[in-house]
Amino acid sequence: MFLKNSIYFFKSAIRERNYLFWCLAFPVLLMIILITIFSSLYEVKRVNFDIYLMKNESGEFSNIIYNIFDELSKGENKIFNLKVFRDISIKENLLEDLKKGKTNLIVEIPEGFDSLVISNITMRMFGATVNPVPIKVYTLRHNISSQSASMVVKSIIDRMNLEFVKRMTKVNEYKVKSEILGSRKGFSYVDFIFPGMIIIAIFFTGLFGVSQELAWYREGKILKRFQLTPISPLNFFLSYFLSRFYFFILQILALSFVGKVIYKSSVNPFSFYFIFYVFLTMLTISTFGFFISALAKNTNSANIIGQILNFPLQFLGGIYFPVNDVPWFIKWIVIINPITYLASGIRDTLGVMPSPYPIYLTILVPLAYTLVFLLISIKKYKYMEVT
Amino acid sequence: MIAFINIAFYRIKSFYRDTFTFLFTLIFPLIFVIIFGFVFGGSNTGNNEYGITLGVIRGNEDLIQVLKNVGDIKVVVLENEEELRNQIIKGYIDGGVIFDGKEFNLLINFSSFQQKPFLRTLGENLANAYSLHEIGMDKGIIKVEEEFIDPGKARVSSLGYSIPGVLSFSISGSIFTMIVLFGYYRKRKVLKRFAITPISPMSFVSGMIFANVILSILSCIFVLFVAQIIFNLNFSVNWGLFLLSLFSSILGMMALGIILTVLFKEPQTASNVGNLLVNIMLFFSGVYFPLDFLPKYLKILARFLPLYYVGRALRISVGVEGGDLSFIYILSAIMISSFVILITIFGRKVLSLEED
Repeated sequence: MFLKNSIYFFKSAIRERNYLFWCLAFPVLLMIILITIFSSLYEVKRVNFDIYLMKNESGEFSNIIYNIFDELSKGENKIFNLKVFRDISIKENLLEDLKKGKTNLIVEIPEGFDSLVISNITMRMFGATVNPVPIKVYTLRHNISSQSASMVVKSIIDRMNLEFVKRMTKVNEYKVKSEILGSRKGFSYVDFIFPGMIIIAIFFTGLFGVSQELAWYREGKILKRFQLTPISPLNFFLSYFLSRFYFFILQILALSFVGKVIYKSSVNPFSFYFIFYVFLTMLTISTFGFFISALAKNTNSANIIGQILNFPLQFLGGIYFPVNDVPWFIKWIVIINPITYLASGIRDTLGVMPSPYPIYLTILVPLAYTLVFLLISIKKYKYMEVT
Repeated sequence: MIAFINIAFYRIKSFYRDTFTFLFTLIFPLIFVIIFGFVFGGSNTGNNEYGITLGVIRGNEDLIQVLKNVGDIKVVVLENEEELRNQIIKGYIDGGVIFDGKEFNLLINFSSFQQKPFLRTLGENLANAYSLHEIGMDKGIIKVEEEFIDPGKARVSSLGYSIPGVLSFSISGSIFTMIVLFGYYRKRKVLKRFAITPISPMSFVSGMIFANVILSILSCIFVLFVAQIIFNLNFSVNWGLFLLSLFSSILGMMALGIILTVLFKEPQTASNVGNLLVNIMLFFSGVYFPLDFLPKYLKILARFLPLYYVGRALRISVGVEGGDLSFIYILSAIMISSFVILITIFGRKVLSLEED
């Protein structure tokens, strides 16, 4: 009876196109969008920048700079798309181009640059301390491409300085490596977002699906009608929640297919920890939905409560970005947010990213929420039944 | 005319009772502004233009000196590597540098890297600067003097730059106004009932549209003021252009709503597709992350989405981005004429369908 009812509830849910779209198709689409966008950010391979070089000098040093920029603007792996301007009077027009995004950066070799560099080197040879010769770079504020291009130009100039100095004295050179934290295996955006998306999918179903459905059952007095049938309230709720668990499994299978098969995530969806946290998430979020349905007066109220809670819980749960360094009045939302602990716990145990909280908290806090939500909801529903 | 005014007033008065519109137009943008404002800070104008904070382990005085010379970096001194890694993982600092005498290890927080991909090139700059520092030539022979050019008239933080994107989210709610009017109202035959009243369906529809335009404009202005007050942002708003951008963008989004209602007979389906479109457009309107590093095909895709242009028009009108005024005029002309054409063709069709 209990299993049969749960299968009935499940079938009824998957017949709802709207439900299927938001709880199944949308999380998959969201995951594909996030991976498509952010993976390209983490694997900066073929970026090239539009650069204007203002140069009306033709001395040795300004030509060296030009030649380097020119070399870096050739071939398949070019870094720059270079345009050289010798007429400095059009500087204002070039700055307008920068503002309009027609170029990423403007590099200006000032007048008298070559003679200044020669005198600088000569003075240094005689042991004098002199200020370096400036080369002007115009960067567009708030523009990541412009700032990146500026960093590349700075790197080139630093390298040139080093090469000049190497001709005068012995210089130590050092290797550089970079590491994106925090992954234990090397950062992969797919690995990072995959467990988060599982939580989000369950979250959508619990916050909107469970809460609104149960509120609708109550509003339509369907729960009352069940009292006339041999199905007990316990049987009703157990079969309902079991049916949502089937749905969660469907969501996890769909997301795992995308994560593992299409995007080759290294996260193992059959690992004990993964299954454990997914189960904990299912419990916490389902009871959360149950709790909202108990508080809401009707389906519309359940929808409103869900909509209002959706953004803060989703964005301040650390699913998309870390939320540790926030002011105290935002921090408390992070701290009381069950998503924070579920996301941290699942990522830590899977080796994707260390949790900022002790592991026992990532289990106990969601469990405590489950218990509180369940107790309050049962009490509320019992009261409604009596009245 | 009186009916039109009355209906518009009724709609304005009932704004907060229409929960979905109220949430979408006013509450969500406010939540967005507050969350993004406080999570991402947005104080990177002034001394720390790149907004980079790096950690260094105590005892590396030379390294600290070099980092300060590299410029525009805030340096935090930490006790050991464990603390350094911990601070980066928790997102308190953007990254850190560990130097063992042979090699530099640049550690970068993944979220900072998401927003500042140029952090990766910092390692090379640092190694070169350190080599020069060792021989007492910190300043080198040639020095880059960097000047930051504001894209618009106003100098704002990165949060200020992203506020027009949040406003465009608010504007996108207008899609649903038309789905409700031409989808749900048609389905429930609400307009037909006006046949037995002295109010014509046309007065009702135009009154509702007019009121929704006014409400959306007021909501956007309110969100802009709240952002300015809470985060001390100094926009240079050209009110004429701003109001024109808002007005035309709202009508443009309504036109999109009409298209969806025509394409999808079932209002729920139209609403779902609208919701999906808004979500996709939001990712490409520069609210969540910069678009500069997107692959070329995604940049092309972004240019097909109206919210991309709405965001740009709003940025120009509040003075955080430069651009030809003709851009706003052309965009407004396209948006307004799309609305007028679509409402003339399909509005009449929808009303006549209901009469059938």
